[in-house]
Amino acid sequence: MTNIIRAFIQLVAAVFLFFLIGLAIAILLIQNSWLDMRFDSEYMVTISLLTGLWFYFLTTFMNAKKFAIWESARISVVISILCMAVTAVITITGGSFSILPSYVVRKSLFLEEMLTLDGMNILLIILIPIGIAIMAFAVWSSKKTKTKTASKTGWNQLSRFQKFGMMSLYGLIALFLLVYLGQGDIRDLFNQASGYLKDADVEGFRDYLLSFGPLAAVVSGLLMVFQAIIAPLPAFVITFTNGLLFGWVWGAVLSWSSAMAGAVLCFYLAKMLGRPVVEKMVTKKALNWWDQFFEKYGKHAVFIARLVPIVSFDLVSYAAGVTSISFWQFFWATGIGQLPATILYSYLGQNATSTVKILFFIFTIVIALAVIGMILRPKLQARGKGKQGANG
Amino acid sequence: MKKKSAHIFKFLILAALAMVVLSACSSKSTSDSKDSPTNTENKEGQNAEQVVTKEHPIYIDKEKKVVKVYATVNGKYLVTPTRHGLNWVEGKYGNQSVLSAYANPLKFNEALKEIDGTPAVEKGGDASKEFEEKDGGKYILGDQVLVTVTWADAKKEYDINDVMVDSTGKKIVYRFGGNYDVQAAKMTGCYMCFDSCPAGITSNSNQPVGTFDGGHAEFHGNAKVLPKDGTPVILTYSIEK
Repeated sequence: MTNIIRAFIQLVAAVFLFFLIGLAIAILLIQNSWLDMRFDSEYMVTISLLTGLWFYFLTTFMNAKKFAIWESARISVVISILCMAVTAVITITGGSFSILPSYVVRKSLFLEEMLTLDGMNILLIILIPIGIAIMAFAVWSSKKTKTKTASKTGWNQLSRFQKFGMMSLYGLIALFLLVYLGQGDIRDLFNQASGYLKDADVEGFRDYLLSFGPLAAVVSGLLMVFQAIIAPLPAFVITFTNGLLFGWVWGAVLSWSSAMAGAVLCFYLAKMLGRPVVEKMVTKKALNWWDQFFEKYGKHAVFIARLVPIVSFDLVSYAAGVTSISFWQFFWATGIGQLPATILYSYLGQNATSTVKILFFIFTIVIALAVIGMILRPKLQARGKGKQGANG
Repeated sequence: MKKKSAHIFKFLILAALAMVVLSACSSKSTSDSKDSPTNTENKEGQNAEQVVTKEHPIYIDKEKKVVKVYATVNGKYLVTPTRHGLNWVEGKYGNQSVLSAYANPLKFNEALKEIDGTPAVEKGGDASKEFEEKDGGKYILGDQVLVTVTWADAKKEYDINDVMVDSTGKKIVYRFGGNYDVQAAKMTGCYMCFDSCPAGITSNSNQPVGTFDGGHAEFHGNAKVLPKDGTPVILTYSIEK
């Protein structure tokens, strides 16, 4: 029980310290009118809170004590006083003390529909002293008791390469979230692109790419890489559109090379992050399936998986990164394996665009059946065995 | 047992198919409702304040030749400079204005035309002719638009210059720029800009293009007059001929 309370206090202290940092940065940035008209700096608080949670996760579950800056009396006192002073001086001198901090916090926490500024101010008046008290208690308790956190995956056991990978991945996700939330133009572009891809609207996506003029191919390539790493969007719609827009030969070259870039990035990202993290990203079940597949087909597994279009391209890239397959084996297997589908989709994109809807529908059904099969298989097998046992 | 499993399989397949079909239908109906012109109202014999609401944010009174727009106050820009007077909340710059509107700006453009407003640039027109080149820069053309603002506890119907502040002390004079095509393509959400603007439906003809970005003037809502953040207000537009 004491450990749970201590863990909770540490969590609140981490979140509160990063909240103060985010609030001060957001209010500083808002002072620049040029930036304020182009970027919603309020979301700095959101990202700062996430960073606090990330540092807390690293500290608690990976024993990375050096990230626990809220446990250090000197650092937490200096940072919190500095941040509160910046916030107070700017808002008091600007006559916005009762409006700007509460506005920033309310927006960053997506509470605009639920709270008035007065309500948010009351909440801040209550929560800030509590936050300060908890932070002071966290510093005091960490001095009193040096906790020994049990950890399966200690931070110090990771290689520098893996540490760099984990921090880079968090940095990339945080940066993407910040830009997506804060920049209306970029958010709009992403929403449009994902809308066209989700609806398998090849002609709409072609017009979208054309709106970038000479950069159309670059945007197409970047989206292909992006969807490979983060977003679960149907890549074959991009391949179809590239065929329609650039002709099947150049479309296939573009799709093939950008898909390769995405696959290589996923492969190395998986190597950096290590198996436990990849397991969380692609699910344990999916990774177990891949292990069995890899065991059965050995180094040809990647090539075979690439030939079957319903097997997730990104899952294979991530999963291959945590197996013993060498980079060049992975590279050639992926390159040659994805070639037939890339050429076929590019050709269909140029000559029979309407087939994408049919293909999309077939994919949806096949994937749905595969998922249902995966869910029911163990139960059916268990029942089958039970029945055999009863008969025997 | 085999029969039972087959039944479960059939049921799940049917459920999956039904979900695919239903999701296709629901996405269609959503896009349909977005395209339908439900926001523009013209109900005779009814008080405008009763009709113009968040759900029906634009009201056209053809007899009196006025357009009424429902909006809410954005507290941030009572204390922070901005170049946007009124923006549609769903536009790209939806929350960067003193007042937040709830109808697509294209409908506002059409509403001003219905009360005989002539924009500087018509739908499909030549955008290069919407500005007048003078000393100091490019100034927006089009019919002059008079704007007043009121709200539930307001003492009177305030002129736009009572509720908005230009740091240079110049009066704000709105003109009907139009810019239908730009809004349709970029959907910035701009109803009223504080300097002459190639995207806003209306913009201030007393300040040239780039005034705010160039740091020549700052604009914000008047915190001494406007009500607090979130308060609904009604803007009334008429054309000065």
